[in-house]
Amino acid sequence: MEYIVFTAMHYIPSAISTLLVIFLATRVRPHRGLARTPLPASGLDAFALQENVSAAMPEVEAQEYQGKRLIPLNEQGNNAIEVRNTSTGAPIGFSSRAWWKEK
Amino acid sequence: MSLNYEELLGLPAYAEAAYMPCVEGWGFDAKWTGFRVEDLLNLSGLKSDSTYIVFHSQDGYSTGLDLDYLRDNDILLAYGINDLTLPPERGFPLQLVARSRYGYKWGKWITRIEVYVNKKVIVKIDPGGYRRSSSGSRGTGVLPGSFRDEGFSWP
Repeated sequence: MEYIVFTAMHYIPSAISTLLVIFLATRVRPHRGLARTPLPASGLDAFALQENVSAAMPEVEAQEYQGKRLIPLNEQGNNAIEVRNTSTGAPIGFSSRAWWKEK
Repeated sequence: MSLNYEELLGLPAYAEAAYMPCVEGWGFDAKWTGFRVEDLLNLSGLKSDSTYIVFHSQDGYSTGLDLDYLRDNDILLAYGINDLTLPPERGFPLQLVARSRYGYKWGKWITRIEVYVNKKVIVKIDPGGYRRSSSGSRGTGVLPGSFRDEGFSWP
């Protein structure tokens, strides 16, 4: 019986400490100016694993890199909108500003 | 300093896989190939008191980032995506690979770069700019409607 009492008393302080840590963790808030929400990420950019390469593009679309599957260009999102000459209607380039204006 | 496209391709080339996160929630993984911003800046005789870099796009958009961020993260200006030369609709000639930042920091069609020695000067010049960090929480200012001066994204 003494052993059981000793065991319980041994754990009480650590249990209190644990509860205190949990309490503080739920109470403490980061400064508003420092608040951060993690960016959505796939894990690819958890760290930059850059490697020296040739500047010459193979011009064959890569499907994977460094063991990671890449999203094909035609499946990627893009906010570019084709800009046309207002008089002739001829395409003159692309812009993302028009995309923002539509929002 | 002015460099043509071929001269930019002559800078040391690097590739990396990075996720481009749009503030609207979508994004994609891609392989980006390009040169480090720092390598380009060093060619220009960067002053020791430079602190802030502004990237100007051909369509009039611009975005700025701290020099420390660009250096510490080996940030690339990419001319290739998934081993293809950046297509016109994707940012040719250059797109900033602003790793760990939201998509509006990944300027496309970049053709001009400015170096500032004091970011506070920029805030004074452009008081309507967007001042929150692009990595701030969603609900506190990263939505498109929060841009007070569309086309600029000063942090």
